[in-house]
Amino acid sequence: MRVLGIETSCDETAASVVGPAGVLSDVVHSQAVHAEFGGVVPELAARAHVEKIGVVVRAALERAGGQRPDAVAATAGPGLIGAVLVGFSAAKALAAGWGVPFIAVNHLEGHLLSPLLDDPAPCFPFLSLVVSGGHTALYAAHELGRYELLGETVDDAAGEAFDKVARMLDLGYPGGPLVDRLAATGNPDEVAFPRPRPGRLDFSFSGLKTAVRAHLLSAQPASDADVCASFQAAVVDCLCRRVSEAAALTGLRRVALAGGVAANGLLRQRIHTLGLEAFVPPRSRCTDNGAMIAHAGRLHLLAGRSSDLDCGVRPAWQVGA
Amino acid sequence: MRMIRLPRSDDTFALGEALGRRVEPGTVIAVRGDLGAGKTLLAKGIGAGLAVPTRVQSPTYVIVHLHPSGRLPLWHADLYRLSGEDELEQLGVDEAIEGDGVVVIEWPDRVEGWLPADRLDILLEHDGEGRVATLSATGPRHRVLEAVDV
Amino acid sequence: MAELVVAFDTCGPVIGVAAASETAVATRSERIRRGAEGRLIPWAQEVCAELGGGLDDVVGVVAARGPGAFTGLRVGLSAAIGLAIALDVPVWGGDSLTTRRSTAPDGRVLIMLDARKQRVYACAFDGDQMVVPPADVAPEIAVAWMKAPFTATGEGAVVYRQVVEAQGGTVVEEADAPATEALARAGWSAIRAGDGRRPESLEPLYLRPADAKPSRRGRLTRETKRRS
Repeated sequence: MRVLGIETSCDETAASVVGPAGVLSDVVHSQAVHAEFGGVVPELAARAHVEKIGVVVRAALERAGGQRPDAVAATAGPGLIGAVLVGFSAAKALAAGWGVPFIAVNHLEGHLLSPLLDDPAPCFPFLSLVVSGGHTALYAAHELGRYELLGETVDDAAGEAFDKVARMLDLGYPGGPLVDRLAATGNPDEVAFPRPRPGRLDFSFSGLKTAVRAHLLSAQPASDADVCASFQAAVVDCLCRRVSEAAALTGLRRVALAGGVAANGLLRQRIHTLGLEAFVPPRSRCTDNGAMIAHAGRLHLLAGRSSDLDCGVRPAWQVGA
Repeated sequence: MRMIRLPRSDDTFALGEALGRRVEPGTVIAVRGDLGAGKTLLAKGIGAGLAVPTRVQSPTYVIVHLHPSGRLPLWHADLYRLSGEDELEQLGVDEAIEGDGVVVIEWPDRVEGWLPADRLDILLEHDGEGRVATLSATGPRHRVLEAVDV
Repeated sequence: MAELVVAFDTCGPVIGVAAASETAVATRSERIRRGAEGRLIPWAQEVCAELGGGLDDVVGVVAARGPGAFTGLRVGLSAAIGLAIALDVPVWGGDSLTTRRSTAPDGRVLIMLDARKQRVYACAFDGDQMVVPPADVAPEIAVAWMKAPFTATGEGAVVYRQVVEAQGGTVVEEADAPATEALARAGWSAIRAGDGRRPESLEPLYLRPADAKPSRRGRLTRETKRRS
């Protein structure tokens, strides 16, 4: 069974066809328009999505051999509503036009399941750390559709902290890769940024952002590279510590990374040092893509689930809800 | 107008909590302030004061979070990246403002012309290690909040 | 089986879907603030069935490209693009203003849609001749294009009725009724005349740039902090 997956929840217009043998095509158009605004501007994102959706879908179909897919999946949320609506509306129309099932997919579940596309893939149950610009959460993934939330951010997402630090340093947007690159040349021990420990297995990055701000306003701030390295080390410490604690608590020995921040070089390294079996998707599968949506949709369809054509988008959809 | 010193971050939360206990259906609170000034922390306090059982996180990514299960429904918006007013309509914020919920808006500058005339404006500023909050009710319905006990 | 054209109009506060054949049109419409994405496809299936066919009989897809609510108009355009790609048929884009000409009487006609911020999307006709193309203007400017007597139609004519009447205009009854039927008819003719295009080429007509301002404020230092 071949599934076309469409993803437009933020600033990537993406479509992909996934079949039993894996990913047959994977087309991503990254929007460049947001850089000068220091963050994704929803209206500009939505405008760029509708401009590109036809081209991207057509390319994904052609690269997969041009056959009619057996189903269409699309992100229904969470995400920027104006952006989500473009891919979602197009996907439903494609499904109706072909007369095949439609599956509304949760964007975060798409990320969470994306390591299953790799070889080797983790078997259920496994720990999943989903870290991106909008989300930071740690799940015990027991089986398809059953994800236990172990901890999440109590304030800002990790990726948001990267973006905000990049903004303070005027590095540009998106902040993650820029901070990552600059951090490579800096000393991670130069500035002792806090590593907050809120309750449960939760995360907190708002205080860290404020600490970076206070440091930059201090009499003698460290170099940008040292600030980036120290900040990044603090974020990765917080993430990895919770993964270790979660492993101890649940007894799970497998951990998978997902989401845009999973592309961070230090996190990708450190996750392998925790004494766990770590599954780290290629960087292109960490950032938003259509393959993860096609794949999640395909798994749900194989489990007998699809969506009605009169369903709507769910901008604040929680995983497992 | 009223200024309140908030030496510790707990004080920002406590101010929010006090407001959350007093807010009424139709309350609109516009919160301004720089990065790290404590806008989301204030919103968390308001959520606590409303006995919202769900976690109040930064809504930057999806612009609006709805917390339906407290004493009153709480809409928490971060309009930093908003670019068109029709997005507010799609997100249901316009109805929330006319309705029985409580609306807390971070970075309200994006929709200056669209904010209701009667609301509570809060400016959070860094003040040494701490913060200072300036509360201004812009109409009669929100006077009681400006005078909240903290 | 009849050849059908399906039209989507999600530009205004009233959204609609219509199917047109050579001889008939079937329409669904509703005034909704949001949720268009849940209506369009079931409606498209219904209107085709009403004309005795199904989506398989569709030979072209039509959408109102705007002007109108940005988020709303993209829902209809996206659906049109998706449906046309799946069915491998051409698309044709109308606009939400000029298709309303056929819903108004002869003579001078001002078409106005509410564009918020005290503005309207408007265009003007003298008989069948368009004298002012679609523009984003204050309602006072739009009515100043017109010589009395004239008729005004569209949601904006209802919202700014007083402005229209002060200039000697008359707001037609049901001025805010959807023009999806007219869009479908216009689209049917265009598709049959070979004016259809590839689905990917369908583009919105916003008439108004996104309200986004560059927000980079430079690196945060003690000095820049003092300046701000």
